[in-house]
Amino acid sequence: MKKEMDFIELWAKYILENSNWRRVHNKFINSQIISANEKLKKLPEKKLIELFNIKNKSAIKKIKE
Amino acid sequence: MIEDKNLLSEFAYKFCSIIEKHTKYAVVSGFFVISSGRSRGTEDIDIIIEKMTPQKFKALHEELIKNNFSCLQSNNYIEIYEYLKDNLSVRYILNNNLIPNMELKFSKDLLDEYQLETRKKEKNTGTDIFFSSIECNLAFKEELLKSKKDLEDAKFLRIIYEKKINEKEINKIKEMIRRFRL
Repeated sequence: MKKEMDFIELWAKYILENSNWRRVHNKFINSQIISANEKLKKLPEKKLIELFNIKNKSAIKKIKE
Repeated sequence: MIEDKNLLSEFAYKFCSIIEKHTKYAVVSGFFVISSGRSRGTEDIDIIIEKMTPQKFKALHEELIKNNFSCLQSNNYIEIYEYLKDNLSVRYILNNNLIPNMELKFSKDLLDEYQLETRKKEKNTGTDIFFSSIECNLAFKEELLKSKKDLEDAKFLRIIYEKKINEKEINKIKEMIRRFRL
């Protein structure tokens, strides 16, 4: 926990001192979202319904297309 | 993708621009911390809106659908409205991608109303979106949520917004949390 807190403090200080932090940050956020969606598309329909509590059957069909 | 935006903020901006035409909203919790620069993953963005009539909600839902959003609970606005009326949240996704998704709920108590009343746009987030205040974010994370992730978020916010934070206001909100949520 302490190590993680130290990292948070370092990153926060980096942001305050570097105006171009958003470029690095955006790359991280975008790759996280793209990779999560790719993994989810590979999961069976039943698992997705369970994970996201999906009640809308037409929505799940479109997601799996 | 323009350099100063990411997929999460594009998604949130598109959703909030539609909501704003129909009602008052405030984005609460994690997305504020991430927009302020914290590098951590998230799947959903939480948003509170004012309670509204079924007819008003119908217009809002229809505009969301017209703009390629879909609701994971139902296509039928009456069914979705029933969830919201019962203080349950519903999730909207964009272009059939499950992540990110918007977790939408009606304001349910004085604390939610206070978050709507004191909502703010924060230049540092780089997004033109109303968030619950820095003080609300800190009070919820430190007094109510308290998970490892939330305490890390709070630490991050306290460094980034050190000069802006109003401790008196945080204590006032913590007191409200103890009264209404604990």
